[in-house]
Amino acid sequence: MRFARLRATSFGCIETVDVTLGPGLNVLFGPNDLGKSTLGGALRAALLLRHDTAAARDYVPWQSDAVPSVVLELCEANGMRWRVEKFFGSGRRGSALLERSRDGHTWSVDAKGRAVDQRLRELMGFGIAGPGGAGGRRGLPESFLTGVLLAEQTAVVEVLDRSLEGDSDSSGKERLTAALQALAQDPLFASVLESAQARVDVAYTATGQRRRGRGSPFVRAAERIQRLQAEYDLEHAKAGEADRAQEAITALSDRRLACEAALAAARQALAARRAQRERGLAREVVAQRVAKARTRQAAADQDAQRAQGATAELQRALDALADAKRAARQAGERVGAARAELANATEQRRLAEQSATVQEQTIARQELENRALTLAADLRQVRDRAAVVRRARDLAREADAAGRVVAAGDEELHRLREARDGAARSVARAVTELTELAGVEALLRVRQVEAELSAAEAARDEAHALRERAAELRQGAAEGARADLPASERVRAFSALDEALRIAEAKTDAKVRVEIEPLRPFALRTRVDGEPPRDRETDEPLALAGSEVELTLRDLARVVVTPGDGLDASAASDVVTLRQRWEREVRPALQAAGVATVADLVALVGDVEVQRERGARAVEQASELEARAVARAEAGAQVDPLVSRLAQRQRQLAGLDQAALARRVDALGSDPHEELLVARAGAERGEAAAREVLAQRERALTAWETRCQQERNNCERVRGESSAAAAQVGGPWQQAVAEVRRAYHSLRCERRSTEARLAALTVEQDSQLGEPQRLYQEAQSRLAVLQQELDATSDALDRARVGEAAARREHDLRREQADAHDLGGIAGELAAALAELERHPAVAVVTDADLDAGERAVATAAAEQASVQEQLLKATGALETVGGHVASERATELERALQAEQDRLRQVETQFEGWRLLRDTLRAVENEQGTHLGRAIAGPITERFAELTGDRYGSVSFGSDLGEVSLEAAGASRRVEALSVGTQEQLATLFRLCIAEQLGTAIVLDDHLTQTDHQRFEWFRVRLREVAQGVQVVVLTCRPHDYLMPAELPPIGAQLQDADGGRVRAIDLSVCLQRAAASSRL
Amino acid sequence: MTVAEGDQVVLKLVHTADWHLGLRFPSFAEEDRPQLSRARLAAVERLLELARRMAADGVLCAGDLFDEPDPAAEWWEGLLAALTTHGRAEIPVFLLPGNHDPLVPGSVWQPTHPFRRQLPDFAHVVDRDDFEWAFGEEAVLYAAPCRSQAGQRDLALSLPARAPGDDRVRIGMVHGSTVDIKGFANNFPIARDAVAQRGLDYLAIGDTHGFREVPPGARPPTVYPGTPEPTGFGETDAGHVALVFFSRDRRVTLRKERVATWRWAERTVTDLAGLRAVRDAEDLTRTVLRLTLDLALPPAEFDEAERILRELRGTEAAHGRVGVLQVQRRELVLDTSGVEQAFADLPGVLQEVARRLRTVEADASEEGGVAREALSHLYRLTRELR
Repeated sequence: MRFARLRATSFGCIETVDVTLGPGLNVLFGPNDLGKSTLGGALRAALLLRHDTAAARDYVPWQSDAVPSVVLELCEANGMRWRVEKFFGSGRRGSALLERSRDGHTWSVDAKGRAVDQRLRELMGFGIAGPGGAGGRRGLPESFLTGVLLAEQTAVVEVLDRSLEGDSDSSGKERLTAALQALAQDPLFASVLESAQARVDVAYTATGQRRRGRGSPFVRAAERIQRLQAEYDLEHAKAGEADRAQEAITALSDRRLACEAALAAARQALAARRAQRERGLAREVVAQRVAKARTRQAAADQDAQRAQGATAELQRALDALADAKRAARQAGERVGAARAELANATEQRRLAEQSATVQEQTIARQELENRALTLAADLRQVRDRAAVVRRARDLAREADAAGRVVAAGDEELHRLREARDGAARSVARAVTELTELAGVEALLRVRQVEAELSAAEAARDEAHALRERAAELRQGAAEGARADLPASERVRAFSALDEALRIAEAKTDAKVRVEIEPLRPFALRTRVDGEPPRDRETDEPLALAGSEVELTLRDLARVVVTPGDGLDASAASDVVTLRQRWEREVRPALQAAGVATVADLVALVGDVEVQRERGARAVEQASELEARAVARAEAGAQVDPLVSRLAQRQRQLAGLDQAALARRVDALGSDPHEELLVARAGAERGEAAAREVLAQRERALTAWETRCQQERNNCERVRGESSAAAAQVGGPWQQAVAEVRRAYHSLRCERRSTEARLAALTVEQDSQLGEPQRLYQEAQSRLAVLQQELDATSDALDRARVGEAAARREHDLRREQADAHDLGGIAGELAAALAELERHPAVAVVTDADLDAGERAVATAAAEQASVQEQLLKATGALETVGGHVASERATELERALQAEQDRLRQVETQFEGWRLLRDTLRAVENEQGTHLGRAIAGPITERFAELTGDRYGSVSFGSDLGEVSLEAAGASRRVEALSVGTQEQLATLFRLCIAEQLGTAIVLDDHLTQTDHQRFEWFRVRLREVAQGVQVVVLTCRPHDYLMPAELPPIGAQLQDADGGRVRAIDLSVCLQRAAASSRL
Repeated sequence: MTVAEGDQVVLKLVHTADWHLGLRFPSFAEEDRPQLSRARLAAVERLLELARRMAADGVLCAGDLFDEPDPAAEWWEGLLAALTTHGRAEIPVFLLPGNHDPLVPGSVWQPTHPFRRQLPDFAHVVDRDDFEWAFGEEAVLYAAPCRSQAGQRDLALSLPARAPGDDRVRIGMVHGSTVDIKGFANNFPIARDAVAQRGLDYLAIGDTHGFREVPPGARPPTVYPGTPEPTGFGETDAGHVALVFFSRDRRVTLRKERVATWRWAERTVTDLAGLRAVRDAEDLTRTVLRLTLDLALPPAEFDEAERILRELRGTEAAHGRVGVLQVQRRELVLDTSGVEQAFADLPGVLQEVARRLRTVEADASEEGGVAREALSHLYRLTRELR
């Protein structure tokens, strides 16, 4: 940092000064009392002194009250320029401004006010703490470096007594430490440190943090790791998903296998049950066949037995018939013999009977005999018919029995049908109930929609009404507002003006004027000139005028002001003024309002205000109503959709008994939908149960109908046979039986009568014929006996024949029945059925429930398998999506890459940690050896001091903080005070120059070599120019020839002159410094 | 059964797979990746040249030709260039999508993809499940593509079975795994007897990177040709294609032909002599070498080791002796046990620095490693700067 330009105004003895300084040696010269040291003070004040400090009063010119000001421009090695401007004074008189510029033309503010000094101290690094705060030194602050670089003329050697220890801030010591360390470094050490630092700088910031920029090796490695990590995470996630999908697929595959096995097992079990059921059914069929065959075989056996019995019976009948025939033939032979005898006897008797009587008797007798024969034949016929009638009877009875069975079956059938119908009716009722519940639900929905519609319509209507009402209110508000009336504030002003005019006018003729200025409001009653009293709330001044004024102050006092004399002289003038204002302001308003007085206007405006307020409220209300109308209109907008929905819902009710539905809906409780759900669930359960019952009953009915049909077929068959028998009988068997019985009885009776009459006739004839007759009678008796025998045998024969016929019929019937059976077929069938039955071993019964359970098991297993299959497809899809083995391969590769990159990062970290450790260790060692600042600086100073003094003194030593200066002289360490003043100031100047040189900053020397002889001054002149090659040196002197060559001095009247290529600048202060007039202080 | 001498060869095929064009080699240094990736395309060029030289009747490319379904344009453009430059119109090339580059929407195999649109006429993409190609009257190729990166479908068994009376040479080509173990069931499994089940005379498959017959010596053969250029360390018998010769009576002769130019090797070095041996070994310019160093050398040998490593790795001024060098685990470190002597001629301040670093290193903590690293830095710097 160097000084570029210094300007000061009204600063102590300086009226004005403007000095532009060069970069090297600047020798500012002038005569004594010119103000050179004041100029140095101005420079110090610019850098160090707060603008508002009391110490600045020292710089106020004696001869004026002007504000001292100074402007100092500084320049950094990098070209940055700073400009500090201070006006020293308290309050508004003082100010400070710090600006910066990169080009020296465009300046920007860096700090203002007190912040300027804080900023300056940071910039300069003099070791001075910021302004303010506890312990701060008042006035011009000092530090080791200010003493070194900006020392006053009177403090030349004081610098040797100071040290950095007394600094209020460490910045000075840090600067010096940094500067002097470089002085102490070994070149290789410096190179190593520089290289290590360079490597560290690649990776770490100045604060030791890892760099985050693009060039940071950590960032590069971290970015690579981050990129790889992201890729790895992605692929790892995919691989994980793939693994999970893989595991899921494996598990699902296993499950699918298990499900398939379970399904197969279930299907197998079902098939086994079905097969078992089929086997059972087959066995049952075969068993039925066996049973049927056995039944048929039993029937055949029975019929065969019956046929055999009938055959035996027939044989017996035939035997009996043969016996009867033989007996009849023998009896006939005997009857023939008897009849021959009788014929002989008869001939004998005929001979004897030549008489008529006997002949008549004989004719009668013959007739009777013929009749007896006829009767016998009839009897045989009757017996045959009796057999036919008995069969008809038996068949009729069998038909009756079959009919009864059919009837009973029909009755059961009827009952089953009724049960079936009942179940069907239950189903119908359940369906009806469900339909009704659906209707109820539909009706509920209709009602709901109706309610919504009603609400929507109401909302629409309400919105309409609200809008109308809002419109009315707005219209009313608009009508109530009158734009032609003044505002209430103006009206109050009019009223005040009117009152003031009235009072003023009153004053013109008043004898009494009372003015009341209330200190606080109070109740006041006034009466003027006997007028009625008037109560007032006094919260503003009040003026009353009249002949007599009476004031009543609450209940405290009554004041009566009686007339006086004299007039208010200014009242008339007031009246004129007020009248003019009244005419100008009030009258047009009254005319515009159409009223005569201000009081009317007040009343009118009051009314209008009321109307306005009401209107405003009405508008607010209208706004609210409109908002509500909008909201209601939104609800009302649902009307059309709801009407449509209602129509749709009502169509669902078409064809339903809506009245009944309405009754049911009305009967529902508070939560009709819930009740409806419950009812519906119950109805569905009822319907399912009813359908189950119906199915059961229909199955029973079908089975019974089959059975009934079989019975009917049997009945029909029996009846057919019965009808055939009845047809053979020729009428009802009961009648035929009666007729047969009657015919048989009649024939038997007639035959017994005929035989009796024949016997009587024979007796009579015998008696008339004598011997022939006797013989005849005997013959006849024998014949009769024989005939009787013959009859008996005939009867027996008849019976035998009847029996044989019956037996034959029975035999034929039974034989026919027996022959009707295909015994071989039946046997074969039975054998086959039995053989088949043996092939169908008995199995457990498989019920429908078992089959249902099996089917459910199959369905469950199939559903499980389908579900697993679906999951498997999803898992497979997931696996295909994430990439399966590909993802695993990539994840493995990326993991390997990530691992390698992390190893690389660790290597980089170790590498740079190593660099940092090396750098830190280098610095630590360097610090330990270089923070002893005295050691760092002692060498060059000793060297130059020896050069200056001709090796008169030994080494100069300094304390660690650059205090405690001593030197070797005559083999002993000596304090500086032991040296001459001149030598002290020379040592001090050497010391100061050395420090300025190491810091690379400007130094001000204010005639610091006043005690130096010419020879040593020569040495210093050279030395100063050497130093000025690197840093700016500002010398204030009254002896320019000590520092400058004659040619380097500026021409007379010139402010400055540069020499040595601009490294030396001579500035004639007597030219550029304007000293204050009449000054006698400096 | 092989083609006997004098038998007439009716069909000659080059069977390859697993090119993995576009493979990025993420575990390698960025500067090494391009040549490893480029080597894959060069291998394709060589095998196409091989097909041309042997006047093959076709080139079967059994999947994973790209490392991903939609590779960067440079890879499919490179393949197009290779096909155009090294392919022949009379040698059809059959490109089969594998599980790395399945036939999915957006893949290079889609007809709308510029790769497909620019493919020469002799290149045929297997983009149908019923792909069939007749080599005249005597042979036929069946192939089925992968349509996803994973799948349980046995593509070989999806090929049509030999019809009665069909006595042509029947060749199948699919991509998948014959490894019948857990984890591979979804990597397009291939039944080991698929070739028999489908009446094939040769089943050309791809997936595994090493050359492999499944099972070895079986006839008709099922063959993995492996990748034509290895993709990593530990790949057994990688870097080949299969040359397949068919006789009229459908006998097959198989020949393994190396087309790779890169060798992948791993070395572990624990002393300087080992490192010197690596340096003095055969030509390593086409070798991908993974060098695992476990070296702590005294200063005297340290410099030589570093020189050898530089020689192997190469510098900006000179190519390295190793084509691609991957140094694993620890780098070369300085054995600091006798380092004081190495610093004896340094200024005192640096000796002090070295002494302090040795003290920290002797602490044997984590900081010790850093201190050793710092000492290595100091050693190198002082050698460089003096």
